[in-house]
Amino acid sequence: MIRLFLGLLVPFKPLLKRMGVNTDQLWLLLRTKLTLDNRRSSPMQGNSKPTKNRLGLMGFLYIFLGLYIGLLISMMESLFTSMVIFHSFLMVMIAVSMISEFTTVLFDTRDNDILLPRPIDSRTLAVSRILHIGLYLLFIGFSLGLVGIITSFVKFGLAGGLSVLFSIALNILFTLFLTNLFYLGMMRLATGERLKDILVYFQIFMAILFFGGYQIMPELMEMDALETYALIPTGWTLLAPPAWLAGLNEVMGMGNTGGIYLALAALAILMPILGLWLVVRVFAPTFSHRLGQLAAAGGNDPQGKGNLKSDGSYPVGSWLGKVLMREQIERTSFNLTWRLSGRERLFKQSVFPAFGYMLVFIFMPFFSNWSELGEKLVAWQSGDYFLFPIYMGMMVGSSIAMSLGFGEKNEVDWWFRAMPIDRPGSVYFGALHAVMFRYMVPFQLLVSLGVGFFWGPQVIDDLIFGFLVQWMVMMLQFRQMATFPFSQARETQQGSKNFGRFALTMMGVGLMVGVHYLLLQVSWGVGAGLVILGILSFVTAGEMRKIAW
Amino acid sequence: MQQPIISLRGLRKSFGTKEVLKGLDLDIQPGQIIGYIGPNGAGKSTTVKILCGILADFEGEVEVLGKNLREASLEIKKRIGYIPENGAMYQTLSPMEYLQFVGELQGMELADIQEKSKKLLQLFGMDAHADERIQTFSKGMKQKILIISGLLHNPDIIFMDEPLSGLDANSVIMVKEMLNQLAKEGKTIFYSSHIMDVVEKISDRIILISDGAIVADGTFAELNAGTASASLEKLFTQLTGSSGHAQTATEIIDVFGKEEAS
Repeated sequence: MIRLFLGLLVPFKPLLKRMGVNTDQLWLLLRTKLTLDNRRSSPMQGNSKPTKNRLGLMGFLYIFLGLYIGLLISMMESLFTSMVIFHSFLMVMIAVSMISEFTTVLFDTRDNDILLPRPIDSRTLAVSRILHIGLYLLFIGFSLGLVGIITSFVKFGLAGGLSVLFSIALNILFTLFLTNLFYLGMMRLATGERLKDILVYFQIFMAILFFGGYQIMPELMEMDALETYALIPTGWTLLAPPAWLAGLNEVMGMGNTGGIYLALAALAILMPILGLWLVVRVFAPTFSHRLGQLAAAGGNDPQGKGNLKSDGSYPVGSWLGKVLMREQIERTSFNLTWRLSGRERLFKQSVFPAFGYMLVFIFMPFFSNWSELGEKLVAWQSGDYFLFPIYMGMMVGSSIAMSLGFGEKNEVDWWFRAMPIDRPGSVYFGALHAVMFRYMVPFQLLVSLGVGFFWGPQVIDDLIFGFLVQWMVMMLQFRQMATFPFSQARETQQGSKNFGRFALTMMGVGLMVGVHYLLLQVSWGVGAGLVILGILSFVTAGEMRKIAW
Repeated sequence: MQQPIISLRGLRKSFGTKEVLKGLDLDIQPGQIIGYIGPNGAGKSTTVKILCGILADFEGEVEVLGKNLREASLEIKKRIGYIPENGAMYQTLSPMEYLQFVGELQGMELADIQEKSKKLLQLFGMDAHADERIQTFSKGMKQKILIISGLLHNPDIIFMDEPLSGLDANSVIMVKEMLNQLAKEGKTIFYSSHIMDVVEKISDRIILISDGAIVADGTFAELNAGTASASLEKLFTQLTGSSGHAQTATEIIDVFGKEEAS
């Protein structure tokens, strides 16, 4: 993969030499940087798995992600319309994946400590950075667009296919410009740790986007209307970058120079060039200047100071801790976990996407077959469909219980062991309930309100039953892990084990849903179930608190 | 007097509104070990980073190896080595790969790099880990790789910023001895640290900076003559004006004492 990348650059070697670039060093820098990219574990995987061929894997993933859009092109009649969708997709995907995957590389100021003391002239260094980003973006863009390119060649012939190739390159340039704007804006707002936090939210957004997109796209593709749907370019389309590129495709591919298409095509070529000029002349110097300041400031993150109060800022957490926890150690563990869970990136990375996935699940049914929605709603209301939303919280609950033990720095395990704690169970108990009440309970309450509103007050016992099931499952699940909060490094060897646990949990939940369904068949069923389950849950909780060293 | 190998004239550096270096004047002779000490935030690392070319926008004149740092930074960088503290490295590379990268950047021949890297890794007791990823290493092991990567191209001047952090006792002794021999060969070593007893033992000349300015400069004996301090540590507290440590220590103990008494 790396050889392929570098091979692409060979024809430009004489040109680079004439520019005064030390090509030997340039190749060395690029080869090293790409090797690092190849081995860097993806932030989206959220683990420290040593990867050897990440680029290849990523390319494969991106090709797959571009599959539907590529197929969409083959289905739609209007080239212009399909290209607007295609280019919008590419722009969003390139921007989001660049921000979520590449920012750590861009903002890595330690790079300076390695490279600046070495005899590399500034031009070679600058060119190596530009080419590194360029290669990366080309890689993302063409992987995503591969299926689209192929379908275009097949459907629109040589001219159409070539125009798509060309427009993807322009798309990448323009997206680079937009991303640059975004970076500069962000650097004005945030530095250091705060910046990393923003990035985590981007990664989460990205994960939800992928997941949601792939649930909804197939549904969209079944809509008959889409095939014949055609956008008519008006004056407003002059403001939409994807429409420029689509206009270019129309002119080049179809030879359609009528109307507004020519103006769009002109913009498609001019704007990326203008953007590139701005990036090189204006943005890049500002960017490296800001970056330098960032590095110089080092650990002195002015925004990280003074905003972490020891008490007053967590009134809810402190109050809940006081009310719910009986022992002092449990209370301490509850408060500590409540605070840390909002700050531990690894935890947020694993738990927050679960919320997004659930949103997707909630709104999914509404996306398919609009016309029958009314009938479906009536059917749902009369049946036992409320079991579905009630137990959906388990996705969050399970990811909370499974992620609670992992932290970025696995050095705090000793701290708990060095403390005079009678039983680690007290710590586990407090920690699990802190994250449960901070993340899962509010969500479950919201769902319960919705369910209660839709199905009426007779489902209250079912809601409580469902909640007890999830509470118990989470306790059992966390008992399996039995780790102190945020104390373990996430290891790959555990990957399959974790998946096994997850599968087991889901089977357990599925079983309980079945039991719940059976109980519903008898009038006193859920009531009796509640009594038994209530006793079982409190026994489980008591057991958990008593876990010994 | 020989031609100085490093010469600073009115070196100033500010980060934003904060002035970190307030006009340093300094001449350093070749073949010496310079101990560069000062409290946290005095500007030690900043000085070293300027001399290595990491921080470019400074005020004043800096000459290294008889050349102006601003004009001939490439030629200078070929002949200096930098060993940072907790230094950045490409952690997913193996030591061999990293050293090859560094060596090639310094313009060495591949065969030469490999031979020297292997030998140095072996001498530092790292040959068993030559092909493992650096990210799996302990702090001391990483520091050894940093030291090797700073020495690999046989530089004339070696800048060290707290180079011994994390090393075990045997390695510390070995590195100290190595520095002595390098100095005898005519290499200049700029050793920035706050471990006083190491600086006291190895340095030919000690420069103490505080708050961005030089407050003492000379051999340990010279510095001692005026004040009759028994150790560099005592001298350091006197000169950096942070006396009253005993008082602070007593107050710390009192925090607990009162608790138990009540």
